[in-house]
Amino acid sequence: MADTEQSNTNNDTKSFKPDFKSEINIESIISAPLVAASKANVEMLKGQTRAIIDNCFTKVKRNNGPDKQSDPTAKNDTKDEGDNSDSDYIYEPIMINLTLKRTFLHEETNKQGEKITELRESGLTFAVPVICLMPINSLAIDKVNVDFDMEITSVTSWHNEKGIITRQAQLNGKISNSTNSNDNRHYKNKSTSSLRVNINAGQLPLPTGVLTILDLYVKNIQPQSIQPQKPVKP
Amino acid sequence: MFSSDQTIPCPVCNSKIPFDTKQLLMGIQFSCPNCQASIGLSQESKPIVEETMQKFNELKSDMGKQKNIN
Ligand SMILES: [Zn+2]
Repeated sequence: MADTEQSNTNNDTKSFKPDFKSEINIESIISAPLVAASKANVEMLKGQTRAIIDNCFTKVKRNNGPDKQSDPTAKNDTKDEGDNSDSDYIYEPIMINLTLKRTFLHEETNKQGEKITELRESGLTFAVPVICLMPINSLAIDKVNVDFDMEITSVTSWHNEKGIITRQAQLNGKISNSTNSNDNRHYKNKSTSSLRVNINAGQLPLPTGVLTILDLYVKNIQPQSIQPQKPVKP
Repeated sequence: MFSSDQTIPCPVCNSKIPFDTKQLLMGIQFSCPNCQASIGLSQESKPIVEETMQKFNELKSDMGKQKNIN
């Protein structure tokens, strides 16, 4: 997990090299992998959001001026914004067309007065945002297993007058070599301490923001009756 | 980031039409379970959907790599 800390390329990043051979408190051992997992989750979510914005929306000028990108497939270029602030732009969904076909029974009376029933097909084309077709789901780390053997070297305890629990304690110790009998072959004569972190990524519910956008679009696919225009009298 | 149970409301009766984007791209039509209307992807929209799908697939594989690193 120390690797995660060091790989961060921010200028103000401070590297942290925990010395597992010296005494360390149990909270730090458990929290370091959890913080790293949480950071990884944030990175994945950022990537997903960026992908949705970049691939399913077009950034256009708010005032529909001459700068508006008329090509619906044109991708966003956030670098080339000049003096314009973000509030001058809106994100318009990239639309695609779906076709709808429907067969229906058509009845008509011919010149001889006979009723003729035939099967006819009607079709229409309707536009939906491309985001509605994308199988989006949120993938994130949902389980972190932190597995280590600890040799307790000291216990710090103190009185906490203010809290509900009046006496608190903290365990300090060293991460010892694995004593797991199944892994004896691997860890025999190994001088390094072992802290094993196992991460599981799973599908989580979509963020509320994405769900709201999808819900809005889906509601707009619902049929609406349009009143026929009255013919203008000459 | 990918779910398999996608639906779209039927423009005729508002029932949910289950569909799969990959199959839509192959030209397969999906029927409404209620009114038998069928939806398909129009030919001119195929390149946009294909390109967007590809981008999401790339992201999915990138995330897979990220997962293995951790
Ligand atoms: Zn229907």
